[in-house]
Amino acid sequence: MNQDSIPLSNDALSGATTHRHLCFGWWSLLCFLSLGIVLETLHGFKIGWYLDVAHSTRRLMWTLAHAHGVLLSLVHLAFGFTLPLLPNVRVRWRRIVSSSLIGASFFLPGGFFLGGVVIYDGDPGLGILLVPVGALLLFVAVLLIARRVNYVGESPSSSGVKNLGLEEKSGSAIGKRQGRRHRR
Amino acid sequence: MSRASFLFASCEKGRAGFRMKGKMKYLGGCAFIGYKVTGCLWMRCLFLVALGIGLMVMGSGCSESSFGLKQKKELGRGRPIAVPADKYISSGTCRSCHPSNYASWYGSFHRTMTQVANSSTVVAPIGKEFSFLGETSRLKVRGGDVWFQMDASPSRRHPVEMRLSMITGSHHMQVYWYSIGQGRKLGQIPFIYLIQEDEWIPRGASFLSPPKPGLQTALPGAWNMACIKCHTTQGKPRSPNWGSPNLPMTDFSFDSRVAEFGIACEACHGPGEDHVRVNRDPIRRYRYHLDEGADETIVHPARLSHEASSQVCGQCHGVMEFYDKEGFEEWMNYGYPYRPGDVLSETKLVVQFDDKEHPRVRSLVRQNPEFWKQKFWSDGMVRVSGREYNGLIESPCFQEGELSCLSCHSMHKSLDDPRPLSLWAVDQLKPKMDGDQACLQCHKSFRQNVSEHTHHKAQSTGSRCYNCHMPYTTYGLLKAIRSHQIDIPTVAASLKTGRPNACNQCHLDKTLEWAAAYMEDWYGQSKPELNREQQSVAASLLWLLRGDAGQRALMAWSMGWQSARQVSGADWMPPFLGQLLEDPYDAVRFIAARSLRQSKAFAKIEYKFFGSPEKRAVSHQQVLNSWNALPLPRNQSGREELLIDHAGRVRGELFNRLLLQRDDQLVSLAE
Repeated sequence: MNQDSIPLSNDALSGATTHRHLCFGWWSLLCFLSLGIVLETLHGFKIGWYLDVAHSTRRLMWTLAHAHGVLLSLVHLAFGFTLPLLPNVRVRWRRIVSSSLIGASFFLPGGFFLGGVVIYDGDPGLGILLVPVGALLLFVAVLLIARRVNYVGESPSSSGVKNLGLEEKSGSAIGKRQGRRHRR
Repeated sequence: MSRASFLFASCEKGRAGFRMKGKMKYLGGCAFIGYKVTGCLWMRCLFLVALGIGLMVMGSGCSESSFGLKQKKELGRGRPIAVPADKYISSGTCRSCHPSNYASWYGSFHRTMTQVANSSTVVAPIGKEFSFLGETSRLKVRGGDVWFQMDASPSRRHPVEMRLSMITGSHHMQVYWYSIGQGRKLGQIPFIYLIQEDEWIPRGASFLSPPKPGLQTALPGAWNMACIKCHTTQGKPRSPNWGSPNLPMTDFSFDSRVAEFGIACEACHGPGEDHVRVNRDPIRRYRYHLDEGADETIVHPARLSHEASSQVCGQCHGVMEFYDKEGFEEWMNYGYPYRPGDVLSETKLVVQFDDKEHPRVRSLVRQNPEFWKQKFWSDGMVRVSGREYNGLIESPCFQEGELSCLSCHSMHKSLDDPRPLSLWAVDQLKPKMDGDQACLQCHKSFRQNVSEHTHHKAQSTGSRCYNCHMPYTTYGLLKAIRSHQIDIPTVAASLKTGRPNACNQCHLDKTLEWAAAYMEDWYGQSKPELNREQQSVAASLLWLLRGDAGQRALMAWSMGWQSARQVSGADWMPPFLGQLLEDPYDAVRFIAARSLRQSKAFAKIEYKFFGSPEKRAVSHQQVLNSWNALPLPRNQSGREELLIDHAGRVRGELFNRLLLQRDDQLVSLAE
C-alpha cells in the first residue's frame, strides 16, 4: 500500500479542520478589520458617496458587512478551538459544519457588502439576497456545534467530559440530570 | 409524579399563555416549559423558533404604528394638532425608504412653514428687548416654552404674557401665534421678526396696506381659517360653531387639525398609506427598482403632464376660491378634496381675470370691491407673491409649450447638485436654472447668439432672459419678486397698467420715451403716445413720486437692486429714496430705507421707519443735507430726466409738482 494513500485518522482530519478554521478565522479577521479601516478612512475624508444622506443605505450595508465579517471570523476561531475538545466527531458532521461556516462567512458579509454597492434609496441592492442564505448556513453550523457540545457534556464516559472539565461531582447539574433519568 | 401528569401540568401553564393573547404566546409558553422540564433538544429549538416568531410579530406590531396606520393623537395644548388621517401617514414614514428626498425636504423652507413653537424653532433672539410706540416687549423661555411679554405701558396698566404655540415662516420672517383658549384657536402677537435684518417690526408693517394707528394683529382665528389652507398639509379648520347665525366668525372656537404641519411629502405626492402598505413586500419593491416603472400607488409630480404637475404647486401658489358654500363647508370639516394628480379646477376655482363673469367671482367682488386690485394689475397679470401659478398658466410657454413649475424648480435637491442644501433651499431652483438655461432648454435657437436677440452684451444683466421676460413686478415679503407670467416688456403695458416694464426697471435713469424708441427699433413695437413728462422724466421717478403705494414699493426696491444700480448709477437716488422715508405706508418706508443703506454714504443712517412723522421728516432732511454735501460728480449733474439741475441739486419745483400728483388711493396687496 502506498504511504500516500493511507487514509488519515479521524483525529488527523479533525486537526486539519481545526487548522483550516484557525487560518480562515485569522485571515478573514484581517480582511474585515481592514475593511473597517477603509470605512473609517471614508469617514475621515468625508467621502460623499459613503457619508451623504442619499447613501445612508450604503453606509449601513457596509458597516454591517464589516461587523458580520469580524464576528464570523471570531466564530471560526472559536470553532477552531472547540473542535479539538470534541472527540469522535463524524466526518460528515465535520464537513457540514465546516462548509456551512465557511459558506456563511462568504454569504453574510458578502451579501451585505454587495447590497451596498448598488442601492435603491432606502433599499439595498440585490446582493442582499445572499444574506439570508448565509444566515441559514450559520444557523445550521452553530446548531450542530451546540448539539455536539451538549452531547459531549451529557456523556460521562466520553473523554470529552474530562477535556471540557465536566467531571462528575456530587450535586453537579449533570449528575442531577443523570439521576432524574435513572429515577424515571 | 408521572410523566403524563407532569405534561398535563405543563399544558395547563401553556393554556395560561394562550389566555394572555395569541397562539404564539401559547406555543412559546409550552416550549419554554418543555425546555426546562425535558431538556430535549427539539423542544429547545421549538422554544427558540417561537421566541423568534414572537419577536417578529411584536416587531411588526411596533412598525405597524410607526407607519402611522393608526392615528397618533398629539396632546397639543390649545393649539392645532397633527393627526394623520384619511390615508395620510406623515413624512416620518417616508424617511426610511426615501432618506435622500426626506433630507432635502427637511432642509427646505416648505417644511418649516408651520412649526410648533419651542426654543429651537423660534429664530428671534430670546431676551432681547424691542420697543414700538412706547410698548416694550421681549421673548422669554420658561419651563421649556417660549413666552412673549409686553410690559405695562401708559395705554395698558398690566403687562401681557402669551405662551407661543405655533410659528409661521422661517425664511424671510417669522410670525408667532399663541393659544387664545377657544378650543384650538390661535391669536397672533402684534410683532413679526425679520430674520435677515434681525429686526422686529409691527405686524401691520409687514404688509403693504393702508396705514392704521397703533399696533395691528391678525383677527383671532385667522390661522385656523386662512393660514391653515396653504401652510399645512391637509388642514381642517373644524369649527363646531360654523353655521351659527348670530355668532361672528371671530367668536368661533376651533378644533383645527392637520395631517402634518408645514408643506410635507404628502402635500405633493398625495396620501401615502396605500403606497406604504403595498411596498412592505420586498418583491414588489425590487420589481419597481429594477424596471423603473411608475408606482401607481403614489403620485410623482414629475411624471404628470405639465398641467397636472403645475396644479400640484398651484393648489397653494395660486389665487383660489371655493365654488360654493358646500365646498367651503366640506373644507372646513374634512380639508380640501383635491389630491395631487386630480384636476385642480374640479374642486377649486382658479381665479383669473377672464373669470370676471363667473357667479362666484362676482359674489366675491360684491363682498370685496377691491378684490381684483388686491391681487392683479389692471390687465390681469398677478401682482402679489405666492400666486405664481396664476402667472404661469397665462404664459405662452405653458399654454403652447410644456412649461411647468418643475421646468425650473425642484422639490428635492438632486444628487449631482454641487450646491449646499442651504443655497438650494433659497429658491429651490434646479442646477443652472438661475440663468439662461431655464429658457434655452426649450428656446434653443437663441443659444448661439443671445446678444443678437437681447441687443445687450452677452454676459450683461440685460442679456439675462429672466430680466426681460420675468421682471420684478410682483410684490410680497417686503420686496419685489419675479413675475411668473412670462411676458414681453412693452411701454404700452406700463402706460395701461402702471406696471414697471423691464427696461425702465433696470435703466432707472431713463425715460419711457427712451425705452419706447429702442423697443421700436429693435423689436418693431409701435411707439405709444407719451406726454411731456413721460418723455422727459425718468420713468422710475414718475412711479416713485406719483405712483400708488404698490408702484412706490417696487421702485424703492428697484433702487436697491444691485444690477439696476450698476447700470443706471446710484449716486442720484438718495434724495428720492429720502422722500420715501416719509411715505405714508410702513412697507414703502422700510424698503426705501433698506435700499438707501446700500449707498456707502448712507449705510449707517439713523432712521426708524416706525418713528413719528416728525422724526421721519428729520431723517429725510438729513439725507438731503448729506447728499447735497457730497462732492461732485455725485449726482450726474445736469441730467434733467433725473430732476437734477446743473448745480447738482434736485429741481424742487418739478419734484414737488410730481409729488402732488401722487396716487393716494388706498392700496392693500393681499400677498
